[in-house]
Amino acid sequence: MKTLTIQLPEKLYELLVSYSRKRGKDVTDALKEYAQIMVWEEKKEEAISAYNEEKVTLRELADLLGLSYWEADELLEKEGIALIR
Amino acid sequence: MEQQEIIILDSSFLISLAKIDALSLLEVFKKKAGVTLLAPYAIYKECVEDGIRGGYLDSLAIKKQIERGTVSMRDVDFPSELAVDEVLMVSAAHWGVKTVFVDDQLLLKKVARKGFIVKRSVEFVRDLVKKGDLNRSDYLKFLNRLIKRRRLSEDKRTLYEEVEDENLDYSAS
Repeated sequence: MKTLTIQLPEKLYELLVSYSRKRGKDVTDALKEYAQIMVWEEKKEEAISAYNEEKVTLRELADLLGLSYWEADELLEKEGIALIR
Repeated sequence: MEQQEIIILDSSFLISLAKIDALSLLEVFKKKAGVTLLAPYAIYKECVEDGIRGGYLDSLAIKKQIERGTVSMRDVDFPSELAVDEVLMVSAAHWGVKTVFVDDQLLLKKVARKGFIVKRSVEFVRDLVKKGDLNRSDYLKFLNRLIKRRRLSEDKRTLYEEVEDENLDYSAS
């Protein structure tokens, strides 16, 4: 584990506290969770974009995101991306 | 006795048919065409075992077709490091297969470039209409479901509403 010390604007800190309370977590865990979501979203966007540009197959998309084939298939459906274009 | 033609099915194709509730059409096709529909074990694992483990009900429908014998499962001793996309193509070459049914766009092009005939779920269903094994009204229902479940782009609706016309070049990138 790495330790990171950050300074947050007052308002952002308050939002983070509110976010953590809603999830019943302390601020550190809430921040970790939020960071994970952001990283996942970024990774997902990149992978879907690669799929859309026909740089990866559905299986490769699943591998990139650490998903099963069904999960990747479901993700594309949720994102509104057609398999046959 | 002449050996039956073998057609290999990819997970993308099987899942498409499962999602539009059209897996039973495989049985109709198999009987009429007198072909063997085959899924390499890697595809079976992905479609059925992983699907059931993940709680995907459509995987049970695929399993049922395999248990009924509509789709056979076969294994070949390939190096374990081969990706499933590669297993599909190597299996096709190994078994002397001419045709692969696949819906995944890039994989379809890769398979076509290797010289195999490729067919997608929408064309598979449309061909049944051409051969008189499915009526046009049912075909349009399946077409709508394919579009609704994002198996087929809405942009392609008009193209596939017409039952005529073939000759799409899949290998073009």
